[in-house]
Amino acid sequence: MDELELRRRLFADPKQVLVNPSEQTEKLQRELQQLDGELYKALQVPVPPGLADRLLFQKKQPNYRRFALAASIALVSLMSFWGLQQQQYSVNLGEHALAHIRHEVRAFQSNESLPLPAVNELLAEFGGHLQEASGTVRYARFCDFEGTRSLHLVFDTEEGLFTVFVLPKHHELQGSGEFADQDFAGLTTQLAKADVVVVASHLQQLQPFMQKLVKQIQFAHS
Amino acid sequence: MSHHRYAALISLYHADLYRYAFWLCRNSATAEDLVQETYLRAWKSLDSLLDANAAKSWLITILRRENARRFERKQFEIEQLSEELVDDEGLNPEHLAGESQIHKLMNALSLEYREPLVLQLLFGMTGEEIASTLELNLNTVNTRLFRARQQLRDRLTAQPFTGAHHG
Repeated sequence: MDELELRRRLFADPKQVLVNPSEQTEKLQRELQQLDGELYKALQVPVPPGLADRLLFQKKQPNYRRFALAASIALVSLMSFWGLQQQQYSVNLGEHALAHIRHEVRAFQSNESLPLPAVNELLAEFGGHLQEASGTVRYARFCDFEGTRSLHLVFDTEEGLFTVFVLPKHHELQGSGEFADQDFAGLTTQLAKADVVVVASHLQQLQPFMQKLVKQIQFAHS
Repeated sequence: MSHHRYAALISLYHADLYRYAFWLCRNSATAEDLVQETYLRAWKSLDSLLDANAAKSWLITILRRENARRFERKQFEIEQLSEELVDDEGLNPEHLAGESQIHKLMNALSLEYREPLVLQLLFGMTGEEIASTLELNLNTVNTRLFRARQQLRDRLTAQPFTGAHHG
């Protein structure tokens, strides 16, 4: 192989193994490998936070969209059924949190970046105050949690998306600790003034997030 | 179970697929759309993926097809709209400021040179794999890889005060 052909080959693939290369060719190979290193670094553009979660969740959406009406009717009937049965059968907090997340898909699609004071304005209704947030708060709305007005938040962090529900103490839902289905896992913690539910698609991140959140969120003593 | 296969495909490949999409269309929002479309199609036809080892190239092929579709749509829009409104193939301003020189040079490389180089560097594809992905023959792929690096190297050495690749 002549020198020119060798150079062409090196430019096409600097990683290839050369047999007895000349000093000049070796130098070129080193230089091209260094260039590749720089190129590889330049290719590593940051991946949008929460992308993996959005991808994981979106497979539910086409059906959801198509049958949106049917689904909401079904869900509403199911919830009213639960509501009616509440005296006899206590509704599980975790199950409700999971059903709620599936019902309120738009919470995952929000690209908003909510400032802390705006979040705290809502939290104040429960006497709560968030000193700092893990990641960005993408979503914050009051919602009906089995007849109890609660706060639905979505945190967008480096570890992915976390859904948080803050419920005042007087809710009727039973259950605590951990819960999960095939897509999500959740954790509930009972604080003195409120119950906090955290749900994410990755079980191992839940505990650290909850621990941080419990430290960041404070409730008035009154 | 298909859900677990789908979740695995996301955790293994979504970051590099996003980067590949970004370097195809040079726009972060479009890249994200492309990745979402790709995984949605992947989910729908997950049963057709029999060989787990082929998952990466399968996803890349879907993404390329989605990008071609997007391009066709855009061509159609260009015919509908006045010219000055359509420039999203242009460089994304958020990525122009503060980017390294090598990033800008990569951006300035024409797609036919940029794409095989990205496939080689990002996914560690061999010449043969790139040829089959891009439906080109191996000689063409090697020539494009050669010209891609040659252009980048020439442009870097032409600007000795800002690049780190001289001497």
